[in-house]
Amino acid sequence: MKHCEYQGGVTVKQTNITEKLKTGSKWLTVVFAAGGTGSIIRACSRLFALLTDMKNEPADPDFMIYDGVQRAAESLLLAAMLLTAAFIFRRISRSGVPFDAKTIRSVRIIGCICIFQGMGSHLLASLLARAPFFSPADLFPLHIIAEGFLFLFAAKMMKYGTLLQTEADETV
Amino acid sequence: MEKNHDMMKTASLTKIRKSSRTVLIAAILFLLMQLISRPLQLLYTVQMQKKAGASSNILDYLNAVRYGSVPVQAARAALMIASVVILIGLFVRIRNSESPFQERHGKILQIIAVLQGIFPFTENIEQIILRLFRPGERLDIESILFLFSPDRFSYWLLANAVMLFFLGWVIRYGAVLQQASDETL
Repeated sequence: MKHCEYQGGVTVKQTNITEKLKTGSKWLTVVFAAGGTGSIIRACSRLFALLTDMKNEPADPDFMIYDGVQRAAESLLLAAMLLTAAFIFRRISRSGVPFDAKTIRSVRIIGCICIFQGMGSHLLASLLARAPFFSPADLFPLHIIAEGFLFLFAAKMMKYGTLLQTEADETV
Repeated sequence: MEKNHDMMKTASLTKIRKSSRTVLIAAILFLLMQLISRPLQLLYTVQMQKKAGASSNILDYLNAVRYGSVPVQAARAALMIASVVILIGLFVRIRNSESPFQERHGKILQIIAVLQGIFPFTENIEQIILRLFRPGERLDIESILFLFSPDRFSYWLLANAVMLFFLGWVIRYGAVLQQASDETL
């Protein structure tokens, strides 16, 4: 096994990766925060468009309400996920350390949002439209749900990472 | 205190191994579902597109638009199946290795992230190719903005792919900590 080179009590490789994490996180904070803000604006514009369309007495008002509310709810959930991720990246860009309790909790939140986003947006929309216009594939978008579970598993791995981080900090 | 810390590490590793077994089984089931559902979805897409041409029913039309074209479905099937197979390999490695934090695991996760990142672009790539080569069609800023509008492009999948790629770096950072910890011991 290749041995680590040490500099100031910390491995050189650790310093290099920390710098990469910090730099990457800075950019991703901006991108994800912008994306989250854009999603909120989109959700608001969707709802505004729905209210405007409803005034024109549409032929199929139930479907129109369902579609408008579902897309707005999906945008809000996407905004929640993006802004949570932006906070994670902001924290990492400042500390350079990805393994802490708040980050792990945020990763779990992202996992949960991914798992429930399909169900949440469609059920809310059908509740307000008083008619279910969804299919099982809409309630359970397996692709995104699978990624959600992947994030929850990653959070578990990161918990082990905090123990390694504590050990590394104590060694320094 | 050191003994307590070691016990906590061992307990955490045991939890990860137990979880990875459950997740591995789920991933295998997911792969089997993809191997069955994707070809069926391809056949369904062909049928729905034929039906949408003749029907004025809103749901039929939305379904046809949502499922996209046959080449896009085929590309997505290939990307999905490749990602899940690599993911299953990753979970098997995590279960069999002493620590989940290894340089190789981070790189494998980044490969999966790249494949998942390509996934939402498949329809856009097809539309760009069609607009470049089909007579009468044109590719301008308006059409590009339309292709990347939130109604047509899955920003969920792109955001998840970017986060997974970053997670690969986090695992590689964890691998460095693991190596330092092993050397300290």
